Amino acid sequence: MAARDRFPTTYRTWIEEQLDRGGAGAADANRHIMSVYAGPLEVFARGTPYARMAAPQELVASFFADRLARGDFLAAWLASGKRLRHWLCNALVFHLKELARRQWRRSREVAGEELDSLPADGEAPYAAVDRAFAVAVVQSALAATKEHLGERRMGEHFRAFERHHAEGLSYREVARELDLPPERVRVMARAGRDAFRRSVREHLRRDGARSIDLDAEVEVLLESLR
Amino acid sequence: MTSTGEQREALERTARLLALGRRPRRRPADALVEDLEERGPARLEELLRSGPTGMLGDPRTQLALGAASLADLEAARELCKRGVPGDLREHLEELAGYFVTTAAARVHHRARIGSAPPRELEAVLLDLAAATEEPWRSFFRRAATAD
Repeated sequence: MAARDRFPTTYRTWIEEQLDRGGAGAADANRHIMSVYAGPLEVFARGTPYARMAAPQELVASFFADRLARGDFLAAWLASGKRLRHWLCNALVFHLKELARRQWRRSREVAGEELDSLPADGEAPYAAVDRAFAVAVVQSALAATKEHLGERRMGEHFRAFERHHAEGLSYREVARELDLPPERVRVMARAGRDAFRRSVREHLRRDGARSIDLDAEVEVLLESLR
Repeated sequence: MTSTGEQREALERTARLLALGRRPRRRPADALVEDLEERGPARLEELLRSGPTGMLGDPRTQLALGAASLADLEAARELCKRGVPGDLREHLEELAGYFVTTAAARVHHRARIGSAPPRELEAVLLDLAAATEEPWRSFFRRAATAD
């Protein structure tokens, strides 16, 4: 496929690998996209003139139902070179325009001139989307870390990690809670931190960042939170 | 707390966690922690005897058990900050002396010497506790959790 030939064989995105697996892989890719990107896309939809057509959750759900069912949808992203979160926003704009036109023809509730007030392709207001994406990545990586450690009977490691790194308790305070020596808590929290870091970086790779760009991508997202 | 305050706190928590996604920064203390883990329990006292802290006498008595005065600890610690480029053994001796004198001041004199951020110092001292055996393990643990 010409579009995907643009990627050197040493750089294959996770989504590309899923698509190569066939139906089961495509389903995994869609599940990942719906769980991580629904929130950011709802934030984006809320900022468009189309927000009054339906609740943002409904607009995004209809977008996913329509676009993710298309076999060539994600292949087009692979050829775009854009971050997936931004590319999905642009695709959502097209979807919302289609919805609005259909609705306008039926009821004329959405004024025609509003169709022209949307940002042009490539000029989408990404700051709020980046912020929502940062939140979604952290939430998803936390869930993945909890699952990863839980599967290895390391649930207490997750608790040590969460209490220290997420809640900001000192090792001494966590040690008191867990009734463990603080140096042991430090080792446990570090195991959780390492698993969490791997998960965050994997999410950013799946969004289209190359391995050498991951630290810079973290900085972009941190900036969106300030 | 206002909802704005809660939102701010939630964003700060998100930022704190997201920052963990950066490639880990290697701390100077990591070389010492790895050396102690590799070479076993006798290694720390060996480094303390042959390094700048050797002038204080037996490391266990002077440092772990607290015979050294605060002035002696500060003097030894200053000597550990010279930095010997290219000599790994001396670098490790100085790192060991630096952290052990800092810890001894906290444990035996309730004194904070140096300007290391408390959270970073706590992490290093707990890593040293995990990499050593008694009496050093309890010594570093007490130093890490000293107020």
